[in-house]
Amino acid sequence: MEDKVILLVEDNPDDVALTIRAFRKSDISNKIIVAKDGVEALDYLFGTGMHAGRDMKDMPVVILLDLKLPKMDGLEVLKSIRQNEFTRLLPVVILTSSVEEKDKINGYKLGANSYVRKPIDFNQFSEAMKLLGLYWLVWNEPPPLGK
Amino acid sequence: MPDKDASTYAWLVERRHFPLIVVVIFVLLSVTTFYICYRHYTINTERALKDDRSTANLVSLALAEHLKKIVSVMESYSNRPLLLKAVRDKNVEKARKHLVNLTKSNPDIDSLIITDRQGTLWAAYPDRPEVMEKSFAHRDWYKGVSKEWKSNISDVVQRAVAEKDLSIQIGVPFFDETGEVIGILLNTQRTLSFSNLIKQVLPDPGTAITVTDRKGQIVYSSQHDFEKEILLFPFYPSIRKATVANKKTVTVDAPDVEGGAQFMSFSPLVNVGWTVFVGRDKHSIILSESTYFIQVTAIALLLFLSSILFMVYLRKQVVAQQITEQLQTEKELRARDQRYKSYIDVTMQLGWTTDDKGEIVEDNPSWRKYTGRSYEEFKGFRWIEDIHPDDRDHTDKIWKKAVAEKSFYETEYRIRRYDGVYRDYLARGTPLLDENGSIREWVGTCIDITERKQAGEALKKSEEKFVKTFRSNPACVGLSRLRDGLIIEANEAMLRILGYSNDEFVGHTIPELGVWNDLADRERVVQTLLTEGRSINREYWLRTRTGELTLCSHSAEMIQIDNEPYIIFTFFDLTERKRAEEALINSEKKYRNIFENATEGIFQSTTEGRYISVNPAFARIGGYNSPDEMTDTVTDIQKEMYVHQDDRTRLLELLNKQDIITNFEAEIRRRDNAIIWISMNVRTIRDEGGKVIFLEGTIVDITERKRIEQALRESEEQFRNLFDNAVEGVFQSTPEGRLIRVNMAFSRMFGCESPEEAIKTVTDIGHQMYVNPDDRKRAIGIFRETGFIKNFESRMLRKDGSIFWASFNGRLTKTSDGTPCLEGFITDISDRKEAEEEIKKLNAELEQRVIERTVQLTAANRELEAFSYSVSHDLRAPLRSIDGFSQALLEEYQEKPLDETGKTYLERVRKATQRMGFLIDDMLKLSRVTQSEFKRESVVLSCMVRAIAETHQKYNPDRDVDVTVQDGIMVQGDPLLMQIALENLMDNAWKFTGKEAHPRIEFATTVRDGKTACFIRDNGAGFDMAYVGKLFGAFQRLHTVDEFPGTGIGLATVQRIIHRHGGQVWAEGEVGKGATFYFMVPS
Repeated sequence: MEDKVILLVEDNPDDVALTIRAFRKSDISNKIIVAKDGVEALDYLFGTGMHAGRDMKDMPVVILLDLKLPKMDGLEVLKSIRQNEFTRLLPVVILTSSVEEKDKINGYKLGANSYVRKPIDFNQFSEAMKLLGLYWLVWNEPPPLGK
Repeated sequence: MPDKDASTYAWLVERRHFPLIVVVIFVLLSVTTFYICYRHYTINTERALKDDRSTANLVSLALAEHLKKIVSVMESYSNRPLLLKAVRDKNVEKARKHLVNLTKSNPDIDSLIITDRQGTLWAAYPDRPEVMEKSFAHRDWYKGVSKEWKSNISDVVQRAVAEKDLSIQIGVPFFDETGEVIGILLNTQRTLSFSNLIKQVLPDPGTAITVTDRKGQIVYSSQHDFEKEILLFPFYPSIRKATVANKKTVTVDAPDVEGGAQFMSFSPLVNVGWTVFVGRDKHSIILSESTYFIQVTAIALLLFLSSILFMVYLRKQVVAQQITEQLQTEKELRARDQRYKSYIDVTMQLGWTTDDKGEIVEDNPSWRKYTGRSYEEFKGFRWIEDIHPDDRDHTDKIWKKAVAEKSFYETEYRIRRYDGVYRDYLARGTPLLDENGSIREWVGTCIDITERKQAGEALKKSEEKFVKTFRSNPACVGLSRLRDGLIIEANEAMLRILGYSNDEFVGHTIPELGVWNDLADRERVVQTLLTEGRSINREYWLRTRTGELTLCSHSAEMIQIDNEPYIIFTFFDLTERKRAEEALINSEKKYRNIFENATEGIFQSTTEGRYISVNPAFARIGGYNSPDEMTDTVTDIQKEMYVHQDDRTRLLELLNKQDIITNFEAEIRRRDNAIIWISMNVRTIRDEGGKVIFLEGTIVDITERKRIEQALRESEEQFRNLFDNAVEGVFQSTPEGRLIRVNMAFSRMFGCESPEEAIKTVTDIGHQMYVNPDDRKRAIGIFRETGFIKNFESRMLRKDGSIFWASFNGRLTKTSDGTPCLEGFITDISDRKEAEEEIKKLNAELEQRVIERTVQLTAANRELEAFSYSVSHDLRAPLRSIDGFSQALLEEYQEKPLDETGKTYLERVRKATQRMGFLIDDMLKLSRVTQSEFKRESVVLSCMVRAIAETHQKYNPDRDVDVTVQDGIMVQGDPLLMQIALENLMDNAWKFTGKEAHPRIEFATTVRDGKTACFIRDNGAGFDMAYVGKLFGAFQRLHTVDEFPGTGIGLATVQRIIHRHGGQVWAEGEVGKGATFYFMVPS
């Protein structure tokens, strides 16, 4: 489990800190990769751009994707992920503060595996993160790495 | 006046007879008056007395009834057992009670007493203590009742009690069961009480009425004062006698009454024994009669006077008449005298009388007047001096002879007139003999026979003349005796024509000579002569001496010569004339036929206005039953027949100038006053002076024609109106291109003044009127194909070259003379076309606007969506931070003090709240951008930009930014909004050049697509053009907050502002090189 990587795509540093903290509180000490925008995220996933030359064997077991991202929109990132053979099967959990029904529908349409709304209350937030982490890191079996 | 009347009148008016008549009349009248008055008096008296009797009867009946009532009441009471018992027991109390009851129940009974059999009073009501136990046996009433023990009414007595007033006492005995008298009930009635009753009953309140009892004492009287003491009715005794004798009225002497006598009518009250008297003064009757007497007398007097007057008048009349008659007779005599004298004066001129010897012994005015000599000069025998000397001897001889013979004589002699001229006179005289037979006087006359003598001469001369005339008359004249035809005279011409000599003709008879072919003709002539006196122009066949027969026109006249009828006759040969006549008749027949049967009216009339002759056709036209009726009825053609009398005047004037007028039209009134139009051909007939005296001509009824003409004219008028005044253009044109006929509207449509101008100007419709001549060719084609055209729209040319749209309908047809033409209606539809265009344009505009609006709306909607999306998302983030880090703090620093980590937590919280603040502010700013009122002014952007740059520089002195601003950039916009926009852009530029070593910002203009656009360029971080679409979205950022702070609202604001100006924004950039933001604001 220790080598299971989580990719967190979030632009808000506070949210990043809080999320990491929540994970830590839940004794999830997996490696968390943070991408602060869509471009970075894709760069990581495809091994391009700023993450060029990275070991591609190291794929995250789950992508926590925020929707409100600068430059590329979260859904677009999802689309790109799903369009790429390499990353198509990767589980993506949309983690967003958006309450828009539309986002949820489009998210699922585009192939998101899960849609979680970030609660404002931190306790709830920590709980949510714990559960999330537990599920995806322990119980869920990640897909085989694509070619 | 008939003789009988005359004699009566005469007798009447004789003076001495007059008083006799007066007396007679007077006597008659008096007698009549007296009789009338007496009769009236007696009748009146009778009536009055009858009234009195009936009054008396009435009163007596009433009284009797009244008394009877009282008696019966008392009797009924007396029979009451209780009362009887009381009486028997002499129970005063009880008896009294009954008495009270009785009085109470009967108003007439007010005083009652009860006595015993003996007449001793023992009960009374009202109480009479003073007479209680007193005996009344001496009283009359007692005596009356006790006599036969029956109800009794007493006579008038004075009461013993109380007021001692006069009263009647009515007593009723009480009988017990056995029939014994046990008492007497007595009621006292005051006489006064009767008076009311009587007064009530009396029909005439003034009647002298008296009621007496048996003794003749007055019970009631209107004449006497009966209340005080008992009065005896004065007349009672005398009346008694009458009563006995059964007379109802009687005359009594009443010395104390005026007149001395009275009538008394009375009526006895049966069973009571009283009597009612009604008295009437004789005197009063007479007095009442007096008025009547006076009236009658007056009338009689008047009658008398008037008859007297009448007599006088009559007498006067008769006398006057007599006198008049006398005067009349005298006058007549005088007049006769005068007349005779005048006769003499007028006719005989001279009348004379002489004595038996022949001497003039009295003045002879006629002789005097004529001769001029005075009576002295010619009296005696000297009258002979006035006789012409030559005639004197003769006169004397004759005179003497007459005297001798005492005979009438007659002679002629000349008498000298006062002026010396001798005139012939015929003298005649006759002797007047006296009783003895000797001549008393001679009377005679001298008649002026000068004229006669002269006339005689003249006559002879005249006779000669006429004989000559007769003889030498070219026309034959003859005189024959009517009865046998004896020819008395015949002139030369007669003899010649008939071929006789004078001897052969005159002296023979007409029948003998056989002049008449048919002698019956002569008879006919004779008859005509006898009845009418003349036979004129009769045609007969006459025979000449040679036996030849000729048709002659014979005329004869009957004259009387010596009481014998004679015939003057003449004749002339007709043969020639007859032949000519026949020819004329035939000709006339022919013409008459035409006249009679022509269908046109033929007439002859005078200028004055009468018809000489008209034919049946004319009579028919004029509505008359026959030509005769028409010529008879119409007396003034101008007034009666012409509707407009001036027409005839005009006709006559025209005829004066020219002899023949044809087709003269006028309105004529028919007999039934209907009006028709006629057309005449008239010709004049003039007299020698050239003046028109007759008109003759033919006449036709053209009413129908006129009516049709009128109708046609009207119709044409209407259509002309329609044509001329139509709003649409109406036209007739040739296919070749000429206008045949157009209306005003058409002309105006094409810019011409009048239809005439239009027709003249246009020679080629296709090229002159159509913008595109091919259009006309097409139109003609349609015409030829279908024969008509509908709603053909084309652009037309006006005269001045201006263009307009027109639409026309028409058809292919022929004109009246057969040429093919197009005719139809044309309308100027320029307005309509314009309107169509307008509509199309508007629609397009509308479409455009709708599209724009939709775009805007869509954009706005999208923006709103994004906005609210962002809001919810971006606001939540800081909240999460706040809560999270606060929680963290709580969790981790419950026991330990704040360390660095803790501090960072707090820092983050603070930053989060601040961030929220910015977000809210920016959002508000953004919303305000659209809310604020939009002003459009000239805004100098260059200045603004410079100011903003300066501000930035001030607040960031350590940054050295190179700002280049182009001068004079000006737009039309809202200054505030532009300020915000520029601020945002400049902030961005400032921000994103933060990492540059040599930051450079430029504000200038450029031209894109022919339009001027402003831009702000920086050489900062720039952006990836791939994300250019997101740039202007609200809360969209291309960098993280750590990289570059910001809410992501700046550019959205700028976009909104520029869009509000109706402009556009766009951006160009390159990562790491810089970004340029363009905007364009339309002016």
